Amino acid sequence: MTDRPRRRRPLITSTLALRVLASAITLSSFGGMTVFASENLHASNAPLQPAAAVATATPAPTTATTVTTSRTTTTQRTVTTTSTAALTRTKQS
Amino acid sequence: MTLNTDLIWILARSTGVGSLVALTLSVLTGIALRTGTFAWLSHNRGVRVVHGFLTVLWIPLGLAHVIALLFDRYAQVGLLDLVIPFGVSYGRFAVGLGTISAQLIVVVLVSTWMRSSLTLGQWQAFHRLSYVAFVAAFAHGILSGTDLANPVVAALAWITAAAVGLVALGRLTRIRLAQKSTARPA
Repeated sequence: MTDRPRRRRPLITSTLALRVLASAITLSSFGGMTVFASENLHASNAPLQPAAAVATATPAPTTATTVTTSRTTTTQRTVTTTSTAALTRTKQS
Repeated sequence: MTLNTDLIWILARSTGVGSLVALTLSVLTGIALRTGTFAWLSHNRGVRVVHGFLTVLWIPLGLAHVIALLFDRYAQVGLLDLVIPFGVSYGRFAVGLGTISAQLIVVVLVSTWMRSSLTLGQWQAFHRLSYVAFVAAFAHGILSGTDLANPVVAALAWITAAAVGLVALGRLTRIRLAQKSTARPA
């Protein structure tokens, strides 16, 4: 009598269990990534950076001077007038 | 407004990773059907069932990834960009690879649904496009993915590529060995 080579029984025989395993792997990576992405909205060292985000991140230096200029103009406008001759009469005149 | 923009951005990233993982499992189980790579895990019938079932996972995730990017104001992907690759201004090459991958996946899916009206050779030729689709999807993730600086995300991405690469290499080796044994004179 010779021993026939026995095939090893696989770990999971239920197809339902296999489907659950595949779903668990996929959904855990999806869920984990959702949590990670919500905690790290912007990656500054990402290979691609959106142009709009870079533009808004650096403030424009020209606005400060514009404000200063407009302030100066406003101050100058308020001073002027009161140069009319005094019309006060005395007994001597 | 900010919440919606952020939510779209979060969804675009998480569905991208989720669909890549599901696609990896699908490719792995597909190769394993011929090589018996997962014989230790399950019998071939089980692997076949999972291979078919995985479409239920990666199709919605992939679709959600595309839809989220259509609404993302930074990516600025339009409907036309889903048909014509390399047309976007943001990450032209990287996003274009994603478009190519999506188109190839659609071809593979349609050929699978039309399997009864195709010859075995035709169906195999179409189905092998899934390897190219996977490579394009992986390159799309590596080149445009914004989270690869994180070691866990990077490890996940490279593990998917290594797993498919190793199993595919195993299949090629088996094919070569089989060809050699048949060519050897008796």
